[in-house]
Amino acid sequence: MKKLYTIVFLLSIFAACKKDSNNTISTDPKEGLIKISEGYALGAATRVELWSQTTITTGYNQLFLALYDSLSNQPVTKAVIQVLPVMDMDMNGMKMSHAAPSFQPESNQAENTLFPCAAVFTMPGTAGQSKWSFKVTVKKEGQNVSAIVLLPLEVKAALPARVKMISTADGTKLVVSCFFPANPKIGINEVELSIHRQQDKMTFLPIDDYAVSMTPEMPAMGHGSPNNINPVFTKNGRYKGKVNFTMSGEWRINFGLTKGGQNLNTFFDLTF
Amino acid sequence: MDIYFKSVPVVFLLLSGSLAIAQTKQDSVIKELALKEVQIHTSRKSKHPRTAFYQSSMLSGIDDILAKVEGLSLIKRGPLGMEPVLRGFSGGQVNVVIDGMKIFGACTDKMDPATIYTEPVNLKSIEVRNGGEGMAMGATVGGTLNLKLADAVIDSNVRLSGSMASGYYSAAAAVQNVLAMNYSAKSWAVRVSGVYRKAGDYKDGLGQKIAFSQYEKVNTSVSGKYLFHKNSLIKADFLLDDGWNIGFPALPMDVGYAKARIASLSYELKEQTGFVQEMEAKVYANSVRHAMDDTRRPAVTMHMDMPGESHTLGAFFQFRLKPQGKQVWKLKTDFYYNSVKADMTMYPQGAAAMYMKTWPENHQMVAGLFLEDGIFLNNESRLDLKLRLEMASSKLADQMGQNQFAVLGYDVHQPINRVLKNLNVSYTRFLSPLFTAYLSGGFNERSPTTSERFGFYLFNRMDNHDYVGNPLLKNEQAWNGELNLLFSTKDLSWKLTAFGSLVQHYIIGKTQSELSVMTTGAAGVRAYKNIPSARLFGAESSFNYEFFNRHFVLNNTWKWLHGEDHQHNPLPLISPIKTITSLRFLHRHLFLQAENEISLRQNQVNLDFGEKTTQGYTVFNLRSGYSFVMKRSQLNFSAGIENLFDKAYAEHLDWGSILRPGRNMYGMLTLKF
Repeated sequence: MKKLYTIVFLLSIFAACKKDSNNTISTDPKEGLIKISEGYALGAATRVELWSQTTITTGYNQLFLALYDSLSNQPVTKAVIQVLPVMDMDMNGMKMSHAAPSFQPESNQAENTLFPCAAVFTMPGTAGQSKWSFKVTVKKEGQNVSAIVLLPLEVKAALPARVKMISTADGTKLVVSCFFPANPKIGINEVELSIHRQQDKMTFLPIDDYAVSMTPEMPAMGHGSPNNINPVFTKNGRYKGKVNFTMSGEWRINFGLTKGGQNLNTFFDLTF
Repeated sequence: MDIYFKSVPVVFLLLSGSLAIAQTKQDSVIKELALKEVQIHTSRKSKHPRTAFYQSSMLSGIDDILAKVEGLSLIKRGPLGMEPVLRGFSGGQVNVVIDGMKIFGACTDKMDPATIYTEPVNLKSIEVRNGGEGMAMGATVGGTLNLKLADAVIDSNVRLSGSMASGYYSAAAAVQNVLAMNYSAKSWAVRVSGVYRKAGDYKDGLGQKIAFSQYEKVNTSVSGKYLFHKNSLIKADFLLDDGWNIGFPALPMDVGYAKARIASLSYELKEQTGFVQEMEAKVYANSVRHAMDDTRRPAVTMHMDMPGESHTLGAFFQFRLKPQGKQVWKLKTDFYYNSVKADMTMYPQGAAAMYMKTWPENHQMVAGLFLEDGIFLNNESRLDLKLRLEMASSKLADQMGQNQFAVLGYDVHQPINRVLKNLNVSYTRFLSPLFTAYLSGGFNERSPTTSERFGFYLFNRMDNHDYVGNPLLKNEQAWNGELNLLFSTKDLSWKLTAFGSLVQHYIIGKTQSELSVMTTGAAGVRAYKNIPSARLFGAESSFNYEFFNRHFVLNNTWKWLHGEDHQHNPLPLISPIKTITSLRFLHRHLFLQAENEISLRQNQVNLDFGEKTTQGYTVFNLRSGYSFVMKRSQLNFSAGIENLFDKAYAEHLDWGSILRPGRNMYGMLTLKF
């Protein structure tokens, strides 16, 4: 009888252990992410954390916001959130600010306690004269007022460039960013582009009506690759396509943006 | 009554006796007709009257010998490793085996056909079978080339025998040293052979040096034999071939190294009285490593590393059954597994290295079943049936290669499985004691090669195009037929052959305008396609006459070939009419030989493939030799002049029309013991 108890006891421990490990895997939404910044949204009693998959560099960055009740420290899973990257520059005492294109959380319901959003940082900014901050406006469920928090962050220059500022013939300024999978490979790769128009210093509007053509080439050899699929508009100024790499090495992906009979050209480089 | 009963078995015995004699005679004639077996002499002199014609000197390389065989041409890209073409069939259309063993080259640019990895000194003979005649050694549409390895000779009277030779060629300032030795005990023997060859850049008929035509190689082989008893033995062969710094003047790159290791173990059973009368079982393995090299070339804009490797494992089991009435059955079952891969790393200046798989790893598995039925119809005629079924599976084993083909729009995750059917029927008719007719025809299939299926932007210098593979290719199928007439007396033999092939799903590269080139300066991209059909036909003549008390031997061969696709455009790589004549004078220990080679102009060219009209030419060679016979050894001195009149010429199949060597004087000393 004693033996039986021992077995049952051991079994229960095993079962418990198993369950525990399963739970930890599925409940840590921030696993593999890096904490970039944090701050308190005063007036909303909320602590806001900014997380990212990689260190922040110029170009498109997928970001995650985690909200916690500053009293109970419990995750806030429902909130209306607005984000805006803001750059403050101090040029010999002359202060200037501008924003950058951003992608708002799609829902006011957190996905596994995180609110995914994104930003296209248009220039590097560390400390000193040019500083980036991530402006987050939070309105928790059941509250009437919004609270704002400015999360300071460092943006390093991406090399090669992942974002380009180009001007159209009529003087409109466009922010075009290109994002590849983290590990590009020989074969078929997803490629995504975002296009925003600068309305004023603080406002960037997604553009959804460009026809995008894409021509990859290897500058060292002057050849391209066949059967690429041109990016087409999906949503929020984003265009999705497929780029083919026939070998590893240095690639340049040329993009042609066409609208109303006007062409714009830009390119992004990639080495793997 | 009594007499009657007694005479029946006598008559029966007589009949069966004559039947057996006739059958042996038929066998030898059929052998003469159905295949060309070029005997090679190394330490022992071949008694075959035509050996001296094919192998004009002991310095002759494999390519020199093959070039003389009627119905065989060579695609030349460099001084070594010429690619054999059988009646217009080349590459994957012909099956080149070493002692029945499958071996696949490791070079994506066909710089290493299997023939490069053997040397005449380790061969006993070269067997050439056209069409499906050699299907026992593998499914093929164009023919089979079997390089038979020399084996150790068990002869308890001669314990140690061998030969040593050293020679010099003037055109390329080339040296060659050959050694072959045989040691025999009562029931076992070992044969060892080795060659070292080194050549510089040769001079052509205009007196100019052809840059990048040098080479260097070493070949060694060991063969052992052990006799269990009179009719059963075990044999082991090991062959090592290392070539390096092999120039390819017609290509943008040379060969850094080409290495082959070939090993086999076989068991043979002969002259058995039971149901199985003959049996051979063999297991083998070979490995080939190859790397191209551009570091010696001037003005290379981008250095590239292009290594490749090929590994093959195989076994076969064949036996001949006891004659059943008029029929003799032979059976063979074989299996092999091959894996090949090749890649390319490019190093642009001031930029990251670029890498891709030129041959993504291809695993091929092939199992075959072969059946032959020789039906002895009567004293005048005989029928031979051959049937081969082959299961072939090919799988792209690496993920990167699969992704590369996804870029081209192919899903190659699944293995490609095929059944290949080969059937051949031949009929021999003994028209008179002097005349024999031999008619043969069949249906043959072959699988596409690794390059044809999975090659990835392989540059072809000839047509200046990049080639991509096509995993969806169908099997190439050929209806082959030939008629041979043989006239032979004691001193004279004359063989006339007419042949034709209708090839369905002929595989050839076709321009893909939607693909852009990868190689800088290339004119376009081609993918392998099956065109509906192609036709090849032609004729050959082989004449051999010994006269003046056999003091003189006259040999003459002719070959003519025509090839066209379904739209009557000429096929590429078709040799013009060519005739080779040699007259040999023999007296005691002296021989003198004069040779003449005439090739006509070829204007049936495939412009699309980058071919140009090739001018005809006439070349003369002179050879001589003298032997000093000593008590237990023999010293031979031979010397000669090839291309006597220093003619500047190129053959039609020479890539880039690079001129062949000009006047070439050679001398050689051989010691036989």
